[in-house]
Amino acid sequence: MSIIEEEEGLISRLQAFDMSAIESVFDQYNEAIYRYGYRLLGSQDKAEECVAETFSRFLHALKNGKGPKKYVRPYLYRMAHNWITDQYRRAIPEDEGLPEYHASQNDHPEDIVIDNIESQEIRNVLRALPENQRQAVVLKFLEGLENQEIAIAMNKPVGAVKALQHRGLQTIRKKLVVKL
Amino acid sequence: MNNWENEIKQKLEKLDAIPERNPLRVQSAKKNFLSEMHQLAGETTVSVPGKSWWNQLNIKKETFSMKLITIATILSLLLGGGITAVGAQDSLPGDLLYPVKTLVEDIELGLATDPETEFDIALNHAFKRFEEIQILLDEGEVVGEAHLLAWQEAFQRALQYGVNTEDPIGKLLMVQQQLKYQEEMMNKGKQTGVPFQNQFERMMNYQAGLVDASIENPELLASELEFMANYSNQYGEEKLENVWMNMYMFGALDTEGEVGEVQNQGEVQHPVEDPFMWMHLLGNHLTEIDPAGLDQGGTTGGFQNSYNDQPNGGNQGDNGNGNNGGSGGNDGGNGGK
Repeated sequence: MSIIEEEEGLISRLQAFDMSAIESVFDQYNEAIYRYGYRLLGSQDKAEECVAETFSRFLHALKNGKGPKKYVRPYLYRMAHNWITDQYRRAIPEDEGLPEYHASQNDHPEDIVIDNIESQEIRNVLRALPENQRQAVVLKFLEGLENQEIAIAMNKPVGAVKALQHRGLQTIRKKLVVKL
Repeated sequence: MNNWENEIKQKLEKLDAIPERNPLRVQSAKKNFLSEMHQLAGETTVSVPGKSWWNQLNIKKETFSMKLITIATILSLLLGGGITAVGAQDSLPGDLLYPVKTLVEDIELGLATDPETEFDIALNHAFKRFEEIQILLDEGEVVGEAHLLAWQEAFQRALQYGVNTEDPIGKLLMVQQQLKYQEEMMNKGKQTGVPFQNQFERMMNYQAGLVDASIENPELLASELEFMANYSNQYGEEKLENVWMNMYMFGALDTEGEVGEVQNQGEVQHPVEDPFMWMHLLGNHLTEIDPAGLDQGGTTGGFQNSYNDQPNGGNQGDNGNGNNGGSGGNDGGNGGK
């Protein structure tokens, strides 16, 4: 059974504001949304904020008779994506400084620095992508969603999603060449 | 797939390194989510008021009938016992009229309708508890545990109201100022021969450490207060206070060095072992704490193993009681891919 099929059973309970079903959605996906937020924003605080905002919007949508009609996971990623896009639009410098320091005790300092610089480089390139390309690329190659799920999250046909991913990778390539 | 595409994907994988999530923040995120869900479902997040103030820490909604009872009580005090109520204001712990004084304070707080006013009143009450202790010490009295706990209770009540305002950090800064003033007064008293009881010194130091840490993250304070309230609900106020007093008695909350030690250009530091100790002691499981086991070594060891706040630190979720929740795994919340 695919993830999508498993999620289908939840929808009617969610629409009835069944609290145990809603809680199970939080339990199942809050970590994934955190990772998504962190990958794109490079900050633990922002990633936590992303979780809080995404699930708050989810709750309010359910309460107002909205929320996911068929699939939960793509819906949550769409909410998270919208919030992250809002963050990008706020007056944040094009190239942010280094992200939060994080490393295990065994890492060499120079490796940590290089890793952090490279991560931030990629993050800046992703930020500069057109919104649709960024969403298609990140959901596929970082979050590991199936194209069918991404198509639902983006409300586009699967073919269009594949095209966006291809164009996204090309744009990243160009931007990295320019930067390097 | 082209080679260049694979290269790009490899570069994207750099973003796979995610620092481990702080388990306290996971817990806090879940708590806030559930609270919002219950509110939207039309339920209050409020528990049934009990006798204990600890149980009432989370109570923010008073019913209209409660307000009416409060108003009726204050009217009866003003009409029938007004003189008594006024006279009680200067009473000290142990005086006949002291219970009237605290009753009037409760009424004053009960009549407040907005968080800002509640906070102001609660902070004022906390200062009154301090003044009472100061007078007792001046008079050479030994201040009993009940009065020390009343001081702490008043402070933590102010903290609770403070975090519920729109400007929790501003309110915490006000509490911090008041605590600094109280510390200064007590240290002055020490120089002039008025004793600063060890337990009170430790209490004050702990409160100051809690406030300092909470200014950085008011959400953690809210969780900490909730942990205390849950413990009191589960095991009773007396057991909660027993744990407190044993901790203060044995100095289990101190780090190495002097309490309230003056360091760094005269700035007073608060070397508290763990300002959010209830959260860490209890972890994911509400279990009874044995106050007899709270000698310095035992408790400190427990704290050291309680959790590691560093992003990639070990022992995440280990609350020192053998309940290892694992990283980010509160309530089964370790979802995602």
